[in-house]
Amino acid sequence: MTCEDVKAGMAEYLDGLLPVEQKAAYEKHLQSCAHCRRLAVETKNAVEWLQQAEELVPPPNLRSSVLKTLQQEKQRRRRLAPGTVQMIAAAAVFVLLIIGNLLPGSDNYYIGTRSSGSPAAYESYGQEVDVRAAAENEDSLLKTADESAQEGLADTGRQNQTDRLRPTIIPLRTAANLLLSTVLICLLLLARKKRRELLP
Amino acid sequence: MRQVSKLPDWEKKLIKRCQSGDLCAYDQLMQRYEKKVYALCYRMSGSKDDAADLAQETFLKAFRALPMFKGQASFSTWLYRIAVNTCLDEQRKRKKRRQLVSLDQALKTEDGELPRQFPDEAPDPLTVTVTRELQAEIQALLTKLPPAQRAVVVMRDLEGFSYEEMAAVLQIKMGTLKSRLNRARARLRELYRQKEEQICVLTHQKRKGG
Ligand SMILES: [Zn+2]
Repeated sequence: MTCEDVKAGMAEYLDGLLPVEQKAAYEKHLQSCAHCRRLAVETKNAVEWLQQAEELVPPPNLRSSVLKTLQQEKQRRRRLAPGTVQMIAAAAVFVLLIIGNLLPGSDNYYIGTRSSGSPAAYESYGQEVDVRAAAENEDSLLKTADESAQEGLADTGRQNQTDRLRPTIIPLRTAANLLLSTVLICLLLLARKKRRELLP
Repeated sequence: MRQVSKLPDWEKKLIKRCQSGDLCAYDQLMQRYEKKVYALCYRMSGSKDDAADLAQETFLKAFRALPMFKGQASFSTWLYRIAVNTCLDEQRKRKKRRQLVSLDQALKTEDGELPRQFPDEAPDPLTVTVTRELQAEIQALLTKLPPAQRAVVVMRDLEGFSYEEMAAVLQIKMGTLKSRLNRARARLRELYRQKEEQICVLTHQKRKGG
């Protein structure tokens, strides 16, 4: 056994973990080598000195503070985050908006009265279709749609004044877009407000 | 697979209850291990406040990770691994901070005033008397060991872990563990000898002076 072997086996030797025959060879080397003997003794002394370290007692509130934190986490998870309901509603409205605009043919429904007999009615019908087409060219601009709707309503007023029945045609799709967009914006604002309230 | 049987039945049941979010069960589990976890954290960090924080962090991490615990190792091994890794991570962070601070301090030394940022730094040998400050000395010496070596010395010589347990906690091979423990104890021996020599010099000087 060399001095290197002795160094490598020191921990096991001191902990009494060497097999019998290895232990005998180890001790034989220690008897003949003063250097290794000194290392073994000094290591043993250092470890024994260290082992005078006192027993430690954990602070009495260790467990309770862990449990408190975990309890809070649990409750936070159980409760829905504020604004979640509004966000879900907003998502639903958004989906409705998309579906409404993807459905074919819904342009053909109109709200309004139409005097079937009057030729003038057909004239003005043509005009209003133009307005509607113009509005739809810029379908992202709700304002335009709004204006066209108002124009239609204003027309109705004029018609009533002059006692001439003209068809009032408001595209259902535009009206729905207007309504749903307003609801969507309101929901998003509300969700943001709720979320802000949470912040300290 | 072999190690699954290591988990006693009562512990298996307790762990299952914890995994379903039962905090009472977790309290029982913590009660069983808090002493050792706290001791590891204290010896690794060298301060009571840090040890409390580290032990708390260990138990929080363990609870959150419990759904992932499949019984590959014994629960204690798994928990001690979290504790040791938490402590080693903290040491790494602290080392980074210390490097920044030492730069900072290099500028301040001209004033002759050095703020004591790290209470676990070795205490001044002049103020340390062997009997009164033995515990502080022991901790100071431990703190001088590199963290990875400190971990094995603490586990083996203070907490009485078996070699197998230590290798499992640290996820290293038995050969690696043995050489690390040998290096750690050799370092400890040198530090101890230095300390003893200093004390000899000091008492010698005192005797001469008095
Ligand atoms: Zn030798």
